[in-house]
Amino acid sequence: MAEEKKYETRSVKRLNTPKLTGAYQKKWFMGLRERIEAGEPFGFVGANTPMELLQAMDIPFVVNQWWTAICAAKQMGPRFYDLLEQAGYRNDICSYCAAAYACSLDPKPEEGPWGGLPSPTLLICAESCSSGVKIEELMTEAFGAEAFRIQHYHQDVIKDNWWELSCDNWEELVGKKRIDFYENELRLLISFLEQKTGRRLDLNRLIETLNNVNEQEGYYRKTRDLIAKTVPAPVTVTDTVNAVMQAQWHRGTKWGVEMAKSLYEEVKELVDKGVAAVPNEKIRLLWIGRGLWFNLAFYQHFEEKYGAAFVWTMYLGIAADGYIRNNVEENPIRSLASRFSFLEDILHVPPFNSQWFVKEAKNNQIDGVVFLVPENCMNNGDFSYNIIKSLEDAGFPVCVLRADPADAKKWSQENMVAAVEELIENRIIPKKS
Amino acid sequence: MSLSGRNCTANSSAYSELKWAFDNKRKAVSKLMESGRKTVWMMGDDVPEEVIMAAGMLPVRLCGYYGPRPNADKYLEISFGAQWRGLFEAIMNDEYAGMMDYLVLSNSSDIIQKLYYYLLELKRMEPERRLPEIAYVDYALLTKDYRSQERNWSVTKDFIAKVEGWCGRKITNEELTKAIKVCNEYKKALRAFSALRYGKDSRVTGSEALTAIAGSFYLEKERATELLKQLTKEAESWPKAEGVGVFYTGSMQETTEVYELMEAAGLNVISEDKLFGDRYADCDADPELPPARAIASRYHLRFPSSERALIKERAICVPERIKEVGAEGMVIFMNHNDESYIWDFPKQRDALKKMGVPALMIEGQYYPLKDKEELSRRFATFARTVKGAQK
Ligand code: SF4
Repeated sequence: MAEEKKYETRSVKRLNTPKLTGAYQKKWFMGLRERIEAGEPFGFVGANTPMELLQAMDIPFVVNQWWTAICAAKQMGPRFYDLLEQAGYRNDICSYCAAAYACSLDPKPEEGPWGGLPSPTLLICAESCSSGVKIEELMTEAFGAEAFRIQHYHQDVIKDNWWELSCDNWEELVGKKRIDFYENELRLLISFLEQKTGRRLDLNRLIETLNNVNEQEGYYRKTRDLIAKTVPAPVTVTDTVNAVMQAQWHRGTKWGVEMAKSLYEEVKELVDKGVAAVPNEKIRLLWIGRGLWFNLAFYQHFEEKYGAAFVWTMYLGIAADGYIRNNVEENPIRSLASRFSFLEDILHVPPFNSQWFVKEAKNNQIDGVVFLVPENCMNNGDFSYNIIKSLEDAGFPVCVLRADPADAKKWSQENMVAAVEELIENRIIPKKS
Repeated sequence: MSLSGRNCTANSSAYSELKWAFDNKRKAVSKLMESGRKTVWMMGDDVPEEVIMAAGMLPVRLCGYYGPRPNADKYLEISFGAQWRGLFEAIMNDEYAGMMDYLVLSNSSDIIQKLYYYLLELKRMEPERRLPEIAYVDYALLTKDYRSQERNWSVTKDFIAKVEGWCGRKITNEELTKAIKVCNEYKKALRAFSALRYGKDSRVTGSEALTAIAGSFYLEKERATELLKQLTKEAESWPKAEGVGVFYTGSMQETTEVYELMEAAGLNVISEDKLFGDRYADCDADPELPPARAIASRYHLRFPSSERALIKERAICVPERIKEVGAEGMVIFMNHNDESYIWDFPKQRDALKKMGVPALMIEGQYYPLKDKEELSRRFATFARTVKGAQK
């Protein structure tokens, strides 16, 4: 049940890097309009698509799910979802993937975040869910863009502890058949991009981009590890999510590397100085699921009362473990294929997801887990039962929140706070004492 | 008033046998198993059963379990709609315990793909359950371009190799060709029977058709073909089925409950794009092609399902099909969270409007149905709307 907002939704910013990434992102976005007006192509891509190719070809792009996050953070979700309903769809499903399409229906698009989403000329989509494919089709039509859909094979070889294989033994992890297929898809995509934009992919530039990605994600790995081992934690998720997401959008650029390094150095400095994000830290929490972009303050809500700090989300976690692919030079396109044919499995396929969450909970010295299950995503199927059981069996109590991570209108602060407090008071505190 | 249980069906021995199989799936499968063949259960529209038959194994269509579903409630998220929950329950509970040697799922919907991963993991987590060996047919079904065609050839070859591993021998082209022939004959008989459903002079009600078509899944193909031929002959002289003829899409109906509710409210489903219905027989494997390629093409080229098709494709195919079968209205009936059809609907509705065909969209349904009275009322109102549109 929607409730009138009587609570703080903006988080307190403790670091400088998120301010830098936020300011850069805004400036970049403002410049984007000029570039498009000057006739440059403009891509709109899914978070699960190989945006490194566009980066290497200097094609500007916006990421669908990250655009949703911006709309949510600007509290604009409800406006957009009502537009969907007015167009004959519904305002209560697929909010995480449909915000950009809703923008295309807006009679006053310039009132959207940062002056609104310009019309993309290219859409790159992965065939990941039937609603998603349809939404992307509607967007392609609404924006008058051209689309490329990447197919992939589903995983049929289950390997334990995937993170031990992903950097160097990715052929073994992903399997030859899947990589072969995806590599071919990438080659078709490159031809599509070259034809549609008149730009060419320089393989030297691609190698440079991929090496930058490795360096950038390497810093995330160091940052994640530092937070994991430091009690009390130098930062919480509200300090890192924006800094990571915004720089991931520009993954593979020198700026992306700089920002990842800057985040690491800031966190390191805090550790060296013995500064804690939550000085009275008693409880460390791990958040599973999409970020609560419209209400990042929620993550800080439990700090004062319980000394409970959210120290982990997938955003930094997956940056640390999911992207690095060494030996890029040998076959850059193949290494990219191995990254993207597996990326979704990390979060959605058992036991890749459950084993990883348990590993991260252990390494990050977690006391309890809050698991956001999106209630309006028909494709939500990560085998939550298994994730919860694996975590609980390993000694991490889990509380499940059922909510829409993109639409503030449906959020019940009271119920959600109560659920987390119940976890803390009844399951974590008794265990600790 | 419900049209089910008409005298004409009661007097038909062919219909009675099909209905027996439909009502007693477990017994029907047990009977088939008396031949000693290993069973390969199929979940999803696109498991190439021709390959299973060619291997001398018994393909069995998995139907959902319609009763309490504690396993589904325990293991599945709420994003799994009622039909998917039923299928999962049928694997996990005792209904078919000991009867499943192999289970093959196909890439026919996102949820089936997820169920594949869940079942694989459950096999690891709970070995005491003795789940069957599980395989996945990863056809590319969204587009019909050469990329998909090439992949589907390769997937078919891989599946043949997998089944050869199961049966412990090579499957010959002759065996595949024979299986294709048997399946094509069977589908031809199904199409001839379904033709009697179409148009204003429909002789068969939706629930009767569902019973006969789905019942035939649980008989030997040759026997099913014979019965369907006999039934078609008889049904030609059956009295006209009453009710406004509608095309059904949305969540698949494996039982006759919803169709009967519609019939009682003055609607009659004369065609559907669902496997338990007309979609099963929509496309033959071309006997002129080498068998593996013919099988791949049969699944590659079939009528586009909402789960694996673009909006624009369905906005053409569905109205065309509605015209072809002479439906006067369209009903989209969606289980809760099986609602991706929402994205198809506005364009289909607009196309149908131009043809003067009204459409009804029902969302958020569960098993068991929560409010039958409200459903009946909506069906009855829609029946009146369609009749009004005709005037
Ligand atoms: S079902 Fe889920 S993943 Fe698919 S489009 Fe909707 S919100 Fe996105």
